[in-house]
Amino acid sequence: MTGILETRALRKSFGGLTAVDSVNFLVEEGELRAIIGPNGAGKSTFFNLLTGVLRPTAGRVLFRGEDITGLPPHAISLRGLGRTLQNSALFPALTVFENVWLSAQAGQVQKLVLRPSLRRSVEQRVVEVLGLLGLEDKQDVPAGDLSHGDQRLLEIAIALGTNPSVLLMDEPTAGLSPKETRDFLELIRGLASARTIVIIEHDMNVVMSLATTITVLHEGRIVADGKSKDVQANPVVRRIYLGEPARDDAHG
Amino acid sequence: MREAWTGRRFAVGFATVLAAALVYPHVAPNYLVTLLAEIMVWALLAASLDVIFGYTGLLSLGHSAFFGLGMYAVVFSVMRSGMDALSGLAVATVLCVLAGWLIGLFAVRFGSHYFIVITATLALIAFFLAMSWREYTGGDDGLSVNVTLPWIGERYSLLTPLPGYHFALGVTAVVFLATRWLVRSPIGRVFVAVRENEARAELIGYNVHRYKVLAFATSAALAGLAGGLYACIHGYASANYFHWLFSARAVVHAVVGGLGTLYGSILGAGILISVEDLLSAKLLGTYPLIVGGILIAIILVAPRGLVGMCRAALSGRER
Repeated sequence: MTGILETRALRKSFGGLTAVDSVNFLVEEGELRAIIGPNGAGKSTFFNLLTGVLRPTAGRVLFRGEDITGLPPHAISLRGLGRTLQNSALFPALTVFENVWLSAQAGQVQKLVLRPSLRRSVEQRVVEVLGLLGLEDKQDVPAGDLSHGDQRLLEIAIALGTNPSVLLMDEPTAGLSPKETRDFLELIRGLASARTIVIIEHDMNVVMSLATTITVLHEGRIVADGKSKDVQANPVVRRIYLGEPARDDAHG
Repeated sequence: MREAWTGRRFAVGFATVLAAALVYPHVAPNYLVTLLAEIMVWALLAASLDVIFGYTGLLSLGHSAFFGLGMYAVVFSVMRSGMDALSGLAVATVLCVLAGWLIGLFAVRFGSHYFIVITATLALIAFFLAMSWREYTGGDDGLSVNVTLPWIGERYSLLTPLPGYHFALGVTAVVFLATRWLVRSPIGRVFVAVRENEARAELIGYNVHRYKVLAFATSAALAGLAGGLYACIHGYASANYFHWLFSARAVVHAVVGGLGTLYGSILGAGILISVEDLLSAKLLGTYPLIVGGILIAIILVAPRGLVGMCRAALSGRER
């Protein structure tokens, strides 16, 4: 069995601190995988290693069988590994439409300059993505003027614009109300039908209702990995989670 | 649909302005004709700063170095190789693209604040080099040369008001159209993405470093064209123009007119150079105060400059 995304003995140290330690991680094509773990478990660092934002201290990252370790972020994105960020990273002065246009035209700039007729297909892609997320009505609004919930939606729209085959989502529901969170989960399930998704989440309830397989990170290491039922019953996981203060207030 | 509409509206507007500019020398006195040609030079330099600062978000104080380089490229081409104005401008453009590319490769690696310091230093080095190579550059006295047009040759010296004005108008119109095309193209959109959120632009698939270098080299070419145009219509180049204050002046023009709009560079240069000229006779000493006042007023009242203010007013009325 080969996965679409895989890491081998991946490690990242900052000085004396090892944020990600000997992580062997494997995602199959079409999977909806959750990565959970308390704050500081190394989840976001792990995503930064996968997407080339950080260079690993040791180990390898394989995407579709190709070694992408050490490639710059733009090269990784162009290969089809997309990402949303925990804090919405938008182009605030540009409209919603222009934000998604930018990701939809990535990798085709030269072609589009030489053959303006191809711009129609980029436009179609933007319309499609905006429709998927229900942002059509707001397409002419500057991204900086959107409500928090709509900014979270646009965050996903930008990532989808590149049409990634694997989408990494870093806490997409951060800061959303319970109702918005439910809508988001519905949306993410929909997205998962067409692509592989790896989602970071630290709300256990959200994770359990969403993913079939779960990876638990703690202090930079994988402490459990498998079917959600088994992971939930895992004594180590229970200790880590019960030992933590309740996190629900962070989502209020 | 909307694109076609904008295109038609632009074509009509551009043709109107061009027609007015062609009638202008027949109704305006000679010194105002010369003034408008002068404004075009500084508008091109302001447009150059708009590309690198307004669109790409990198504040450069080094573009006076490219202005000076373009200036001397034209004067040397004419003096040493007997070239005409257009070939001189071509040499200036090529040289500035190359210099901009090489310097850009290094300079854009640094964050915004370091970038300002590095580019200001670049201009200072160029200034002192040009000043100290007096035997080649003429120092602050400069070098004078008569620049002529190709084909029609000696009959029309560009140093006389009318031919100089028409030449400046032609160069400015062509360069403006080319720059407008670039900033509206998919490439220009990436420049804006770099300005708005560099990290995200990289994450969605853009080689940010390469686009920054491209923006730097393009704006260097524009600055070189501005300097080259100055040399063409004045038949003169001087080491003074390498000074970073000329970059800062162009930044002020672009800010007052409206960053990231391209039109703003022309409007800002037009208004501020006119004010400068109007005052020069009696009140030259107060000019910096007045410009300072205008700049502060613009930043407080209309942070997107005059063009931004007009656009906001127009879109408000449409709704």
